[in-house]
Amino acid sequence: MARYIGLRILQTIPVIIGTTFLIYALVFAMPGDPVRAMFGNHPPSEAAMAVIRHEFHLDEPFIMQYLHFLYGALTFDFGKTFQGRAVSDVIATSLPITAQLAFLAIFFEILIGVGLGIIVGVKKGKIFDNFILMSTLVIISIPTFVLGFVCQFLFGVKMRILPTTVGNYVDLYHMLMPALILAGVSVSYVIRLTRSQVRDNMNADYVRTARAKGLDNKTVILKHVLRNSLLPVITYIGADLGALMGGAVVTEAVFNINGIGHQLYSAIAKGEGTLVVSLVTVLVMIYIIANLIVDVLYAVLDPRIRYGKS
Amino acid sequence: MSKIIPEASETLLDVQNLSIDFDVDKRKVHAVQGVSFTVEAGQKVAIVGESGSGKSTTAHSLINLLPGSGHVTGGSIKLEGREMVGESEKTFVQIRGKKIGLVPQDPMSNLNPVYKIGKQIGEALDANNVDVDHDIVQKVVDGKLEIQHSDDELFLGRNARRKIENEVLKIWLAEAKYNVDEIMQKVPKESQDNLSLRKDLFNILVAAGVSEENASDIHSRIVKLHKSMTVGSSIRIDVIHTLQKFGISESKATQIAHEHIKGSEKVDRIAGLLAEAGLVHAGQRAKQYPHEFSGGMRQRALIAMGLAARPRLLIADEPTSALDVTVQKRILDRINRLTSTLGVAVLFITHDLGLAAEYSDKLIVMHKGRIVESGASLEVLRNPKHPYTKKLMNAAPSLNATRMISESTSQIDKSIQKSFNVFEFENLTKEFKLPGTKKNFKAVDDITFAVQRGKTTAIVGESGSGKSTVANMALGLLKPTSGRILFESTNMDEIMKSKKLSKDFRMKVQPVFQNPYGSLDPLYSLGRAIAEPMEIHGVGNSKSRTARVKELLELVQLPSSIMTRYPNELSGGQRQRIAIARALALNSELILLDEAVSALDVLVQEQILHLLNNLQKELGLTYLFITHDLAVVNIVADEVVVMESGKLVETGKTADIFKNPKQEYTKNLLEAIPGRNLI
Amino acid sequence: MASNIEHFVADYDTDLSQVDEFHTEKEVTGLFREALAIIIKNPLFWISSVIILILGSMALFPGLWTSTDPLYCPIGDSNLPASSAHILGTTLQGCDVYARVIDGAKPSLAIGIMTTIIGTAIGVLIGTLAGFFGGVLDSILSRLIDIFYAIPFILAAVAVLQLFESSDSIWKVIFTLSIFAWVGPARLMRSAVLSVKQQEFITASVSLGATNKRNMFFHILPNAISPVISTATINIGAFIVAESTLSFLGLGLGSNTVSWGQDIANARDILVTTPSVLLWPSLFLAVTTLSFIFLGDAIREALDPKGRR
Repeated sequence: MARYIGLRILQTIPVIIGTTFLIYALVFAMPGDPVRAMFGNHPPSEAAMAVIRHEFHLDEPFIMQYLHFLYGALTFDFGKTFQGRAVSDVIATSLPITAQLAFLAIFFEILIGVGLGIIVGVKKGKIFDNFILMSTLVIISIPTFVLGFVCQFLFGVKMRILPTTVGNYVDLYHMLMPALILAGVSVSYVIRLTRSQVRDNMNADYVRTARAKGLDNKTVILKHVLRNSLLPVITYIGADLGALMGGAVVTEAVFNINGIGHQLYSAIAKGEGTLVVSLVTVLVMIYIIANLIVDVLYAVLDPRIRYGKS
Repeated sequence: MSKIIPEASETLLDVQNLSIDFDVDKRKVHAVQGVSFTVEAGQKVAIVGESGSGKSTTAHSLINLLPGSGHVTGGSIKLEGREMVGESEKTFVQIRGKKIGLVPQDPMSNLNPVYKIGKQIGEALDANNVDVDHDIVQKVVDGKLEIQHSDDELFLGRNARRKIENEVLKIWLAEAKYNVDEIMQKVPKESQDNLSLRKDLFNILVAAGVSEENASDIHSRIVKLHKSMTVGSSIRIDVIHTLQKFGISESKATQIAHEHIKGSEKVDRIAGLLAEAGLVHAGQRAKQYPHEFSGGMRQRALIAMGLAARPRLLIADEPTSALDVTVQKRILDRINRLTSTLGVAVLFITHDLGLAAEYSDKLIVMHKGRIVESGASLEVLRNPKHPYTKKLMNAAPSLNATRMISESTSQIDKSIQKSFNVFEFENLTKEFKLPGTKKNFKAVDDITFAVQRGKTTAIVGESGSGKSTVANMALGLLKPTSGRILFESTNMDEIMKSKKLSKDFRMKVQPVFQNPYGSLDPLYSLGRAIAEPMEIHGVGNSKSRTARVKELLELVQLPSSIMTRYPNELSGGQRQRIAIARALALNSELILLDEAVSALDVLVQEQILHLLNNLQKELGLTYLFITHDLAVVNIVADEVVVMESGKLVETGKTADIFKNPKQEYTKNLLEAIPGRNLI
Repeated sequence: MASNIEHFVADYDTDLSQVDEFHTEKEVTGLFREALAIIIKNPLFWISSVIILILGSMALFPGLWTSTDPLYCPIGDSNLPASSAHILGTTLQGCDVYARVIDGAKPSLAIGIMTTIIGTAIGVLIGTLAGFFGGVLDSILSRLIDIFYAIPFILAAVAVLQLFESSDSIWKVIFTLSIFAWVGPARLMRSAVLSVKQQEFITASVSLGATNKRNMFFHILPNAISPVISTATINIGAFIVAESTLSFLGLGLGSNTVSWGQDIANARDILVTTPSVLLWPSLFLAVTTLSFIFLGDAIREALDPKGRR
């Protein structure tokens, strides 16, 4: 077990180096002047740009530039925004808000996604099954921001049962709709995955054997079908965190939530290139670490991995 | 483990006119039609049939576990006189495990990979309210519950065993004229309770004043006694008998047993069940996960599970078809012995007539959903009446003792200068790296033999014997670590290095593999598949190739119109025939048959073997036949090479080896051929 | 016990003459024919195909559908309700909603399809190389796949796209999406190649004397590609959504190109007063995506080897 975790952590290191390098290379090593690009159509004076170049070590060789960047990323020192605020400070205030949103969304993924997935998987009715499958596809095909606007309009403007925006009111009531919207697509995928897993496992040999032992239907489903079906779902939810982060940018923009996604959105709008890259880097690192945790959790739940080959 | 077998025959299961349908693509498929049979209490009944005969479907309907759309459409299933057709799922939940146990077919997929073996067996106990802890008996004192088990059903627990052993130890000390109390006072406090379990018992006793001679005698007797009592499996009466065997008087033995054996804990009972199923170190094994078990061990766990709640009928659904022959024999012997002692009736589902006859009192032969013949096993085997049974008998390799058709060396034109041996393997060794370690593992270890032209040489061995590695080296797909292979007197290394020689080699040596569903590209029409070797080697033009394909199809007895069709339209046997046609496309000299008939039903298998035999005669082919099935070897091979864990055990003429095996391993293999001694 | 068992023999009515005979009258059903038979029975296949064809005609020949210039937006026409002149009304800027939704089909489809083609082509190449050759090459390519896979798609696109000066070219979007679009197909292809490679017909083909090249192109690639094809179809929809999301974030296409995503973002300001301006581009976007998802699903169902032999 410890060996597996150790190995898994070791495997994560090259991925972190690789991803940060990739982001860095894509953003700062593009043809053209990145500093000029940072400022869009209103470049400052040459002298000012030279200062910035020095500040970002752009006057040094590429690999040194990257090492500076990586060092900064690992020590959470991302420099300052245009307004002079430390980027790490921006992250510190906005990340908890996004975290709340994300956890609420994951909660819905598990509650609605897994719950409905199990029901559809266990029930044999074809009409209900088809209806749910269709609905999930429809939700998947609607972009998050469209879904957001539609719900804002319906529940916020027309029915007036939920607040349309969040703003400074970071509480469950205000976060309910954004979290549901953010979870929407993922919930659909989780339903589909859970359903097919449950279906497959219901027909698995060991489930039949469990029945042959004399276990009743409830025990068979709870102890055998679900335990085994949910293993891949856990991995999926971990991997899906990435999509959730991308979605958070959109959701926070739609509902005016001051999370990290919103910071990213406004950084894009203001053309603050370095801030955009810093925020993306932080999110990617969170994503990689979250997946590491999910993998370890998986190993705890699946003895084949725990004891098996690496 | 001593239960009384019911004296008079009592009908346990009475199936009348049973019919079962499946809905496939809106069509009804009648899987079982009007099947009737009975199983008496304690009787062993076997249902034999090919795939699609409805044998497993019939068995699964008894516990209402038909797969997919299967459902009973008519007839009656009476269990202990009670009608089960139409009963609710709830009733069946009560029946399963308790009245009817199941040992399923594939040990690899029938255990839940995420739970420990012990837990999965424990579930079978819990689900059927098996009163292991005897807490129910405790409650009887308050007059609330019925007594579930008689006194003798109390199992020996781990602690009880220890205490009994200690008592016996004291008795023996007293018998040897020692003052027991005095000696015990000299024994260190911490080892007083578990004296019998201590490895240094001898030293402790000597230190306490026992003579070396007595101490050594008592020590060895205690060890023997320890091994004679199985925790969780031995019951009071067994322990009393055991103690008597060790020289304790009946009254004393009874007193000790009654004093200490008050029921085992669940862990002990689980270990006991596993031990009964033949698993060694059962206590530790119970704490392991399925993936840490071999196939045979898993099957033993499944047997323990099937019998955990002491059902009256055990359905054994092809319990060994995924296992090696020697393992198969051990497992079936174990099921047989265990069910006989427990008085459990067995419904044994198998495709192997020999196996069925060997392990049953009554035989039922099914074909296409109907029973064609049934009767006392030996009677049916020795005096089959229905043409289908006769056909099955004739086709079953295990029941036929001689080579199909005499050798065919005469056909070879001796005037052509060709080496007598097609292949020579000299000190062939292949090592693989064990993943995750630096150790090497010898898959093939220093084997030497030759494959003679125009003959069939069989390499026989169980899984892990290295036979497939030899096959892959013979095909030039793997390089030997040391030793060499000569093909027609040329070293394989040389052949593989030269483009021309290797091309020539590929034309002459062709394989046919085991899995008929995997050996043909699903996207290629059959004509194209057969023509592929010609295409690769640039033989002929498209017209001549088509003509050749037609010729080849005729050789393997398939209509030439089949050319435009695709593999998914064919049965397994038909696909193997296509694979054979492809292997023959280039006038090859040697065909390597890697378990080529193992996956086929017995009648189809016989058909293919005949086809191969005729082709050999007609074309003077040489076969290298890789198989685990010694029975098949007997009817097709001229020479046999027996392999075990990479080593060559024995080699020689088939008839010699079968009549007079020299090695223990070969003898075991031969003994494991089912039904061989019944005819 | 054995003595009292009755010896029962059924009537000899079973036909036992032939073993494993091939019935030539059986209908010819190759894999493709079977897949075709399955797919033409699927109503979703037809519905989605027809919708995609209609959308295709909007993208290629917008003139067939409208003669109004979607970029002609007189401010005087701001926020008009539906009328005969503007059958779906106008936007806040005064543009014709109908003309804009018709015109939005072109960039959406172009980006979705082009990204999928480029991404799938690169992915299939990398996945096949990694799966087929294995060893060091596989290790390197697999790590590369791991690294790209570890970056959430939208975040990656955001990081790259913000570098570009705003322009109306769809190519910057296609380029950016393609940088990351190959990862999924590559993973899929690698595992498909690995599983096909282990099949016995490949070993058979090697021992027949087939070269690596022949095996790869004639056996492995055709057998491994089917899951990639259905996923690619679904991906077209996913990339259309991605493009609209980027446009919504202000990173996609410039204001001189009509884009559903941008129009939806702009409609936000008048959501309360004129929700229909939001409705139409949203509807088109969703229907387009849904069609590709349905089509991909139908293809997957037809090609899925599970459930049939």
